[in-house]
Amino acid sequence: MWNDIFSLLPEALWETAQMVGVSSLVALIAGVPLGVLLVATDRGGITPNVVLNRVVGAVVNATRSVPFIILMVAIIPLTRLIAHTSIGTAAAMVPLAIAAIPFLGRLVEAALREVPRSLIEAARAMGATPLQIVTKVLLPEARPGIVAGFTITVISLIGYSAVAGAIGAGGLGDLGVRYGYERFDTAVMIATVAVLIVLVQCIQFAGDRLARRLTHR
Amino acid sequence: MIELAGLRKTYRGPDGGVEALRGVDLTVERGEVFGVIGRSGAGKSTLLRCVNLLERPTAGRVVVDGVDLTALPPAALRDVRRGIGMIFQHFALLSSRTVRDNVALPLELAGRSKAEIADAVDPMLEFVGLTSMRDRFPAQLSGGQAQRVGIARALASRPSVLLCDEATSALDPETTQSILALLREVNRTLGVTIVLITHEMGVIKNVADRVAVIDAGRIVEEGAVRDVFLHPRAPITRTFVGEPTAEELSAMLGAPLGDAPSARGNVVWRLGFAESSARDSLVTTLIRRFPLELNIVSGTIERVGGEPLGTLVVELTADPSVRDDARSYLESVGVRVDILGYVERHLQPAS
Ligand SMILES: Nc1ncnc2c1ncn2[C@@H]1O[C@H](COP(=O)(O)OP(=O)(O)OP(=O)(O)O)[C@@H](O)[C@H]1O
Ligand SMILES: [Mg+2]
Repeated sequence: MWNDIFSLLPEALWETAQMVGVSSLVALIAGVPLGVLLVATDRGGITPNVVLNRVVGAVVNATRSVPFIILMVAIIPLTRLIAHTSIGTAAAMVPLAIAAIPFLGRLVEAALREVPRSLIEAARAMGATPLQIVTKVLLPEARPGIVAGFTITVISLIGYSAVAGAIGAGGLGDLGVRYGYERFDTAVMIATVAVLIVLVQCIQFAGDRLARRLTHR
Repeated sequence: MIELAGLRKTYRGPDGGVEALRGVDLTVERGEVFGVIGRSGAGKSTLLRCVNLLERPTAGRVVVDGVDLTALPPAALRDVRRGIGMIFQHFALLSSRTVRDNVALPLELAGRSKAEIADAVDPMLEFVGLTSMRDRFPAQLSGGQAQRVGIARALASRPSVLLCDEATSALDPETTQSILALLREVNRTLGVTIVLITHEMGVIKNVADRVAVIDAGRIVEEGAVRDVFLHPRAPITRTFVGEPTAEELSAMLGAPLGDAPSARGNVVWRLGFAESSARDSLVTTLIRRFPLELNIVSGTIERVGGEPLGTLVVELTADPSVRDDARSYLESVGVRVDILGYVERHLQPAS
């Protein structure tokens, strides 16, 4: 039994780390600009464009309303195009990233909206360009909120990655389901759950710390 | 140097919109401190925000140093804005930046080099007396300190104009005085033209050279602060300078104050004069020189731009010809006389 745990857990943990790490990174790279776009193009934003805002908002909502397991299956052609396969850890990264981008985008949007309008006004009065308002005012001022949103995203991705076991992605969630549920191997399941709990705690702790350090209010 | 012509601003809204400015014409001269005073909702902030086009007027022109800002493309407008500093009621400092980095912001936005920024920021912090606070964050500052940072930031790019939106309204009286003193210094030693808006006459008295009174989107009175103080014309200005209203006067007089002159009644004058010491001798001289009876209704002495200015409301019992003589006499010695109204009765001499 312990042999099982020691041989299976590290590999599953590594698969989870890969899936969550890569998709989180992609979410960060695309989700932050998405959040900025949603705020900047809104009515009364720094570069209002109501049509673009509505279209992007609708796409974001549509993506977020599809259950992850359906999203995963629905975008298999796209997954093949990007990952050159539709099963396994690499293939799971594509739907995970696609689900995470709008998720983080909305959280970033909320964080940016918390920045007082008066600061944007002050920057405009100083002759800031719209891009400067984003890079010098909005993003730095919203940084604690963005970090908190990213933390939530990473933790959510750990949950989603378990579902990705359905397309043979492996990982901790998959391990727990296969051994605990299908083979009634309680020890492996408990160990898996314990690792997941510790993992989530660590990420939340690190995220909170970083957010607090960035807060000067 | 700043010329506002035919300025109108209508905020569109579901219920048809709000006319915040209804045709404002103003000229601010280079090097002066120009104050705009008005009640809440009169359009002060809108007016000020039109000067650097944070708010785009619905109609009219905004000319700064001969350039009509309303006609400028965005990039040129940004350049002009770098030459116009602005400070705010609630300071609007970036919470994520230290004091030093807040002051550096306008220079960063203008694309200056690190060395240039370092050279410009330290003297600015010294000017506002915050050198020791340079590494603090805004949350660690008092209101007065935060506004000093706001002033340093606004001046970092060496603008020729400083716009102040209720810069002292969030501060206690003592701190207000120190910030106003700093603004005077900005004006005198750096030669910066200042436009400030406020709802407090105290601010105007303290720093402004000229004042405009705004009411419901219109300028109702304008002039040198001293003149407006001694001789307020619009009813709203009178309340701003602390003059009793017609109702209050009627209550003080114990009889209704009317507009119609009458031969039998008494006249109520407001006397405005420059020296506090003149007040006592003024009354004595009047009574000695002219066959009249005089009752002091109210009086104040205020420092306006450092100069003590007095106003005295008096009720006068005298023949019309005596009134005229007394009035000519007062005006000949530099006292401004305004008729506030008439009361239908004979003054009972004090027993
Ligand atoms: N963005 C806006 N949208 C709609 N109406 C506005 C807007 N800004 C101001 N107003 C309205 O315009 C009028 C003038 O407002 P403004 O802020 O210029 O007044 P103010 O004199 O600065 O008042 P206060 O002393 O309260 O700051 C008010 O009736 C206000 O409700
Ligand atoms: Mg205002």
